Amino acid sequence: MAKKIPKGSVMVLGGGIAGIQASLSLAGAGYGVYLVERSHSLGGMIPNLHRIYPLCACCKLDSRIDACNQHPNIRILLDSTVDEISGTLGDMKASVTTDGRTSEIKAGAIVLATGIETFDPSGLEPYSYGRHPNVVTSVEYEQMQRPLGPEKGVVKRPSDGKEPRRIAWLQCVGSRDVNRCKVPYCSSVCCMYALKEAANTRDTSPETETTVFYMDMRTHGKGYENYLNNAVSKGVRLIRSRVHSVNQTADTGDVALSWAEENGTLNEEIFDMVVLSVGLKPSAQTLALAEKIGIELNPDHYVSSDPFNPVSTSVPGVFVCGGMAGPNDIGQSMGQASAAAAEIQRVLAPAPFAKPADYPQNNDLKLSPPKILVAYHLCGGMDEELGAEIEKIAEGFQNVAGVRRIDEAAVSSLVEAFKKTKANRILFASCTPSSHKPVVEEALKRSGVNPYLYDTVDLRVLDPSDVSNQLRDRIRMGVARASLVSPAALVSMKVEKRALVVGGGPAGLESALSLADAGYPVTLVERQEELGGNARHIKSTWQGGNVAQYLDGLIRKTKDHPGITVMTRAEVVSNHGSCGSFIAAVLKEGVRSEIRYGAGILAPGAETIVPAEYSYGKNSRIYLWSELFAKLDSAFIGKARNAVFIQCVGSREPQMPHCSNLCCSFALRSALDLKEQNPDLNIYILFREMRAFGERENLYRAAREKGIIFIRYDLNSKPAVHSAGRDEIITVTVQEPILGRPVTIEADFISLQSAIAPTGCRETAKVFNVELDPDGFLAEAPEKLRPLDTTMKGLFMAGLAVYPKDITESIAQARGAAARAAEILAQDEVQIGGLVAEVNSARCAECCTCVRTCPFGVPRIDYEKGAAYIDPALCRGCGMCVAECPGKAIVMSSMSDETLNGAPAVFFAAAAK
Amino acid sequence: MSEFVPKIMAFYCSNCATSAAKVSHGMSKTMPSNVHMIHVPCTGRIETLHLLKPFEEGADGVYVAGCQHDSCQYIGGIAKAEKRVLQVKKILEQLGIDPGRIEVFSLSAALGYRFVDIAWEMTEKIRRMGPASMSVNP
Repeated sequence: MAKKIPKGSVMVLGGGIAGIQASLSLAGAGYGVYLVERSHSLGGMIPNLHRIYPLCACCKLDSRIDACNQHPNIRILLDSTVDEISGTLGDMKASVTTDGRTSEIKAGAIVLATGIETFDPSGLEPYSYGRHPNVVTSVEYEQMQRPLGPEKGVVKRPSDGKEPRRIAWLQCVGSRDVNRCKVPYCSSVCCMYALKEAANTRDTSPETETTVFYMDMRTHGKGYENYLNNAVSKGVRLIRSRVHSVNQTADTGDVALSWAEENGTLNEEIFDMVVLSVGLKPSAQTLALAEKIGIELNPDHYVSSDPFNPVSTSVPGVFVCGGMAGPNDIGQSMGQASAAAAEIQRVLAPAPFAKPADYPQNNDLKLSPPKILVAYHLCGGMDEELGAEIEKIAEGFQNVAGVRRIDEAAVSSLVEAFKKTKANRILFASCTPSSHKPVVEEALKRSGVNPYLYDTVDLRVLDPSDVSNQLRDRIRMGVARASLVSPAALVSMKVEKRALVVGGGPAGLESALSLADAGYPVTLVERQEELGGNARHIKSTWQGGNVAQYLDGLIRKTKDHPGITVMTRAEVVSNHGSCGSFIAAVLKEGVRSEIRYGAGILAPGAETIVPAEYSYGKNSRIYLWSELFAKLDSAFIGKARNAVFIQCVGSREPQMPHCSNLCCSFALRSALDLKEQNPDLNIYILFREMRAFGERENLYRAAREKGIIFIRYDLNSKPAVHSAGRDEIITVTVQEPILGRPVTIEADFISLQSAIAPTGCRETAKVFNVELDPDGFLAEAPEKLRPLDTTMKGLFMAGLAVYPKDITESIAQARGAAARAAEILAQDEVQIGGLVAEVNSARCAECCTCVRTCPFGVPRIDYEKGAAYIDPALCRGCGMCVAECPGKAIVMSSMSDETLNGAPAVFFAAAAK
Repeated sequence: MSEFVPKIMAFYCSNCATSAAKVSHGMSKTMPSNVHMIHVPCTGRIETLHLLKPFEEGADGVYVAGCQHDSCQYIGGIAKAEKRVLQVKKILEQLGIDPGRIEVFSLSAALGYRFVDIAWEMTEKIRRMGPASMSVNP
């Protein structure tokens, strides 16, 4: 089946989170990657932020940057810009300027991940930005909140250094504003970041009042609605209004805001400080490059792409992800980055920079007595004299075989020092041990010994007036720990080169095709008889793409693909094993079969609820959104006079708090399409928040221009729907907030935008032993910054089962998940074990304490052995079961009782001397 | 007698607390020499005995620094540590030792300055309490 495709390396432009993710995904799949970053360091926007919503993950960015730095297949070019790109897929040339010198680099494909800029509000008269010192942008505010910022995390207002007690956030500055700043779209991320900034402010100084002025509260992503509810419960005040003027009050430095309530009442309130929630726009520098090389842009100046090919550009061989593709949040950007990697795997064969490392086997190493190589690395800004001090101290300890400074070529110099000193373990001292761990492990592997024969010493936060004592204390502990280290049990396992995909909707089909095109055989399991999932109910994407046509093509390609085995009316009933080697049992029409696979993608989808309200089922003209276009005939549409769309049916209520995301864009798209068919049709959209996020805002504007009527309702005054019988006239009564009184509409038909519920996720979660999030959708891996990883290593996720979303985003996720899975399938072997817990069967009383304790459900009772069993491939090494086991039957060599109980003596006996 | 400097042992989680250390370091904050740190993969690994042992060996105070409840990558590690610290507080009380000699803290990169600050706060608090005098080999 191998079709002839060119071979090459890949150039990634932009070293933010999207560029980092794309590089890692590509390098993982075997490509040599040039990662080109304009600034002096990797990281992009995230290092400027205080926390990331909904969970903080800043700590996980550094490890990604380290991974890029250390990857043999990634070459990083900092302070570099790309001025020109030429050539065709497989044979492209980029002219790269670094420090004034220009060179030409060849690559097979290019990924544009140059990210966003924030809107500069200087030119916007009413906001007084730049004229009033206490009006700041949200980015400036995050800088103030950062503990490493100028005020060490204490927010002080610029005019007088006073801590502000009343702060207002103004949303949509440089977004949804055609008149003043020519930015028609919604920037999509600002509602969440404003809530985050306000909630964090309430956390750190509860006496500070925080108020957010907004037009629509757009918290449409995974877990975002919970975040909103949580912010409100923390006392963040929300006011629905666009503030019309920001005025300086005499001398005090305070800021006076004037705004109108929905019913027209004018208000004025004084604040200590105002934060402008500035919108996003694509990086100007890249726009110039994109135009130069002929990449098509959309009217919002983002790189335009087909709704069914979200990361492809108009230039073959050039792909896009992150902020250049639209106003995306971190999770979406990362998903797209992996999707770009998947798309490249379809059209370009990998040309690596480096061959996979060859590890020798040194079986002669004797572990007793301990002989420690003390190695240290002085990071930038650290006192050079620290080195001499470390050497002096370390040499004085027993068991130390030698002390070496490690600078350039860390791995090879460690290997050499290890050999020269005849050591049998390493103690590594540096400013950030966590980022050097991979280096030390690699060096030990290349020395042919167990990669966990080491320990670390942290050189940070040393007191300069007492360096010797503190260093001695830390090195003493390090030496004691390193002396006790024993080789962790490791097993190599062959990777089963097949993927399993669960679910036959667009997400499942797309990921199956991606993997099969990359050369990995796939088994796709679908419960229903037909493929297509929920997409079968949808006429068009919000952008207007023809879904039926797309879906037909997708299903045909899947069925015709020689690498894909499709099993419909089939279900996975059990799943065992671990990353690289799983075994699933599939039941198809009563017949059970086994599938061995290395990585899986869970895309079981979600279902719309059947509402018990709004007279659904009692009148033939009241439809669910999913049945609207199948049941409405064009003759009826042509003579209908009034149509009503009711939003949030079952969503965002206490029993189902999440936002179903796609319903607002569905209603807008459908209303526009109906208006096209029958311009005389009056359309009413009854909504709670109009979540036309991102470029969907353009639909909202178009809908208003076309005369579609929007009426906002509250949860405590829902619309009332009455009909006397199945085919009788329907009346809808709703409280009109601007008029302040109820209005009644005689509707010819109603579309109910019923909630998307994760009905099938529970069963999938049970079978595959993955976690669900609080809303019942598949949960993200707890390691954070892994939006497509489930809580089980080797299993990824995509589509509605992750959270409700439109087809375009589902496709990006599906292809991204495929790239993540390919990173595993590309390997021949995976190593399991390491820093994990092990059961001593002789001491185990099968009390099940470990079974109950483990946060990941790993331990189980092996009845044949008569003891608990902890699968080393699944154990994550937290050690909680070790602590809880009443029989002391579980051990963890990396953190033994011996070490923990012995530590105080090591410290205090020496301190007493 | 010179001024009493308490001997303190601190258990730090190697995830959140390590990123907090980075922030503290960036702020040029420094640790007091009397606080002896040991890193654990997760604070959920720590047992009651591990927390009592330092007192036996002459510590005047002990603390555990782990993650925020909402961001422990092992889901419930810090909750387990809190439970254990509470247990040890009860044991100390029965032994006639001030339960304030042991504490547990939640850190994160955002609260990075706390990495060092809690060491100084504990030192000051224990200094006021005076020596623990529980050591079996004083």
